[in-house]
Amino acid sequence: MNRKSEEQIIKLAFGDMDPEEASRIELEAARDPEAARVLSAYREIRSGLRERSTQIPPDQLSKERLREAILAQGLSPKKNAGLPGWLWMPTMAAVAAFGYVYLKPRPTTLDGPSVVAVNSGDLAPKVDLHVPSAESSIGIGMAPMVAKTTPTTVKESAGTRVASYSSHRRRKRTVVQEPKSDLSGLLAMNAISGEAGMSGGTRPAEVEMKGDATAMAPSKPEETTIVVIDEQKDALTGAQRATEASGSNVIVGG
Amino acid sequence: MGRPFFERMALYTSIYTRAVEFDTRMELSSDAILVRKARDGDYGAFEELFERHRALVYRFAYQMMPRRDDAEDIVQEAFVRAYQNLHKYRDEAKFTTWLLRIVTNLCTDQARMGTRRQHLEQQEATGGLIWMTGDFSEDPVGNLENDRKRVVLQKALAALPVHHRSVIVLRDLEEREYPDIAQILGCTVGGAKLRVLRARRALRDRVAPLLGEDK
Repeated sequence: MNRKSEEQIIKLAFGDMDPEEASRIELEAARDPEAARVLSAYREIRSGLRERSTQIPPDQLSKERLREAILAQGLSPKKNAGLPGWLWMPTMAAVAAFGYVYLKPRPTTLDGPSVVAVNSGDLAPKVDLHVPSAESSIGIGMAPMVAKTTPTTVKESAGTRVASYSSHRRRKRTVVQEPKSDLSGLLAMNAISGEAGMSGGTRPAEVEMKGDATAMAPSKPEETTIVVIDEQKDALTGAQRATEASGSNVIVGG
Repeated sequence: MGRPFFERMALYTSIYTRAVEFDTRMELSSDAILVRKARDGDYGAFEELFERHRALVYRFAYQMMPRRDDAEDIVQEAFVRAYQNLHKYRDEAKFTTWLLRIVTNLCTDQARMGTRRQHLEQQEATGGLIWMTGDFSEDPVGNLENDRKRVVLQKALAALPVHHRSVIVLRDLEEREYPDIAQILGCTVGGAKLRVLRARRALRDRVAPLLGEDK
């Protein structure tokens, strides 16, 4: 049997032939014993392959296994894209503009007593805690006086440097009203006792001193003054109280 | 309204036929839509493709790698590679054709690595076992002969080189058309027919001696 004949028999056996040509080859194969044997062998192979194609066991594949395999390759299955690609640019631009306009940091009221260094000319009440005339147990010279708190609104000034303390620090504010006596002449001080940040017991005074005129002497115009702002607002005005302190009796902790 | 009745019926029929054809085309192109979505980042679309075509791909892989574990590994690797190379898929070809091409290449790679030889040795051992444990209840001789032929065919197919085995599986087991086979193999339709012919001849050359031993 030549090669061409065998090719025709293979096509006949596997059904890759036109019906007319198939019948012609069938007749020729019937007349040739070797052709008939070869045709029979190929037909057995074809039936065996068909039988085998139905014997497929079920698989154990799953989407989870596939996802794990993809992740193991270092590929990350992306989420749904959502917007079409051409909408992303203007959307992101709008989000960025919104974020800039509404989320940019703004000056806020201070949470706690703050130490503000201001030009002295900007604030009216000036308190000089140096009261050299009287001796006191706390070592600060003071005159007999009556402590009185004066609400003062906080004013912003040019070149203000604000040191704010964390809001979690509790501020205890006590005002001691000293009866008029000539004993110790304790200075009524606003015991806004700062905590660690104001270590050293900074006692920002918020009192308006009456007494010795020297105590009320305004500081020099060009002198830098420290203003202490109380976190508690005044009940009447609703504004935060501020007191100005100058001199060496104010210790600013950091 | 002024048209004759038969003319209107013909018009309605043509509209209906076009609608059916449109639906068919839409269904066939839904794979392309899912691929496009998967390319754009929709992983759910890719999972949908996996669910649609995994049975077909698994059947083909099992015919090529007659151990279920190996077939599952091949299928999984094929889909991973498909995911990696979605950008290379062209809409002109069917998605299944592209997948089967990936599987064929994977099987070829595995055969080159020589692991196939180990499986052949295992299959020869198990093939004898299958032959010996056939069902002999009704016609012992006939069943024995059928089982033997089945085992012989299985061994012969497993022993074929991968480039012959793949075309036998595609044409004679999966019954795919020659244009599809040509796309999967990356050749012409005439080339696909020639490769199928040669593979069948090679299979018979392996089967005949084993069957002819008894004669």
